Amino acid sequence: MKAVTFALLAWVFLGLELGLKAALGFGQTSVAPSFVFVLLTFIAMAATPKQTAWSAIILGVLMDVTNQFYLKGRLQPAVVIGPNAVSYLVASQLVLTLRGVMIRRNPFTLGFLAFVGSLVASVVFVGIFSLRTLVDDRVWQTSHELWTGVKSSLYTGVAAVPLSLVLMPLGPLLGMPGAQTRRFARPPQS
Amino acid sequence: MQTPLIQRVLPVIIGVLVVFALVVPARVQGWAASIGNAVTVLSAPVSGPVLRLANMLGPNRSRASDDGMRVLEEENERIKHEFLALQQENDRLRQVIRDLQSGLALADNLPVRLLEAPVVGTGSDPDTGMLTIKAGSAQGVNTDAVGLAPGLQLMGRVVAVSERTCTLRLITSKGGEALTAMVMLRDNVPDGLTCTLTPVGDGSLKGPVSDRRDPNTNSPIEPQPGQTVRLDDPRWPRASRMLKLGVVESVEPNPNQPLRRIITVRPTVLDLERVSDVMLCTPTEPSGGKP
Repeated sequence: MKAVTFALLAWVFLGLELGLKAALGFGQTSVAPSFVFVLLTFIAMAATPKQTAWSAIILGVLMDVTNQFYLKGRLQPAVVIGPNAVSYLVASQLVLTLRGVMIRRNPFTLGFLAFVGSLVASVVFVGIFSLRTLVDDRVWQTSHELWTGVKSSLYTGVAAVPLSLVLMPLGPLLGMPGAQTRRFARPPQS
Repeated sequence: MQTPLIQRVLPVIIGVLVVFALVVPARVQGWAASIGNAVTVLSAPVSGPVLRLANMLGPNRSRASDDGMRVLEEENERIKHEFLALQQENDRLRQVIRDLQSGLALADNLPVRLLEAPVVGTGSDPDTGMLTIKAGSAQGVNTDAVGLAPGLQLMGRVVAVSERTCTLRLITSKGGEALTAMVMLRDNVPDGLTCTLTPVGDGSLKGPVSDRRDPNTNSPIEPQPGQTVRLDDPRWPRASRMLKLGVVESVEPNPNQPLRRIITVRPTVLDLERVSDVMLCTPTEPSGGKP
């Protein structure tokens, strides 16, 4: 996988995540799609397991450091490194397992895998933060966060379908061994 | 990403991330917020334009859900409450510092120990005007001690001491002893009208004022509402003398003695029974005054 292309895509998708998440929020809720997770799902569909693990860690840490929240009795925002990284890592392993039985060139495959993977990531993320209530004094409602995560996962899966039309042609640019090269991809230059 | 070193590092990084995610408190990870700010700034060339575009195209919406908004509002209210409570505590501590400073100045020539202690209980019958204070002989409190409220208002005297607690009898307690006091005519001069005050039972003290005349004009000097009244009773510990009993609330003619007036004095702290902290002023040397 080409690191430069990955970095560029990560930069763009993180920008979309930070810029569009609020605008695409579902009604007056915090339910919103995750662009970064769609990128990770796309990478996990075609990259090697090691590349997928590194991508999950890098994208997860980027999400962690930009996920600021407030602790009770403190005015400064707090950040925890790890919850997104670990949950992305677990979810990417699920995608790695499932990709063998999926039709990778179908745009709906990215949508489905993004939904399932995001669902697992949400459960792990909420689980980690629920456990963290033992060490951090944070306003946290597990059931509310879990339900929001489930709905966001569904939204992520839906958003992944049109995004796949953009990502699949970029597969060869990423230089991934299993990247799609037909139907929605640019034909290989030979 | 495929070099052997990086492959060996991967499990270590995963382990570190798991530890950070589960164990390390967020307060310790404060440095990561600055990285987050840097990442946000780096992504601004993408996030900024799409955010502006989205704001232009769509209605201005909030991210927070109803539940989330409620949680945030509760948190906001809680922070406001804590802020106000801290501010109030700050004011109280400032008052304590002022009292300690003035208390030490007051006791320049009389060695006293000032100790602030919480009220932990009252008598089963509130009319007795007894407060149990969480400071006793272990803290150096003895029966020569007197209790002060904020503003160096005399609350009462210590009547019983155990190792960890003491009992304070309020000056306003119903059926309490009469006190000899002085209505202050001038500030900082221990010269005034002597009076004998008895607790009424409604939180005030009442009693006749001695007759005194102006040496120049021979006209009677009368107490005025608002004048400060200080304790001047030889039966009380020396440390308590000239401490504030209150201010003159009203002046009435004395039906039995036309030359004398009856004054009603009310402590500057309205409800002495409800004071939460008492400053105990204990002489470090034996002093005069018998209960």
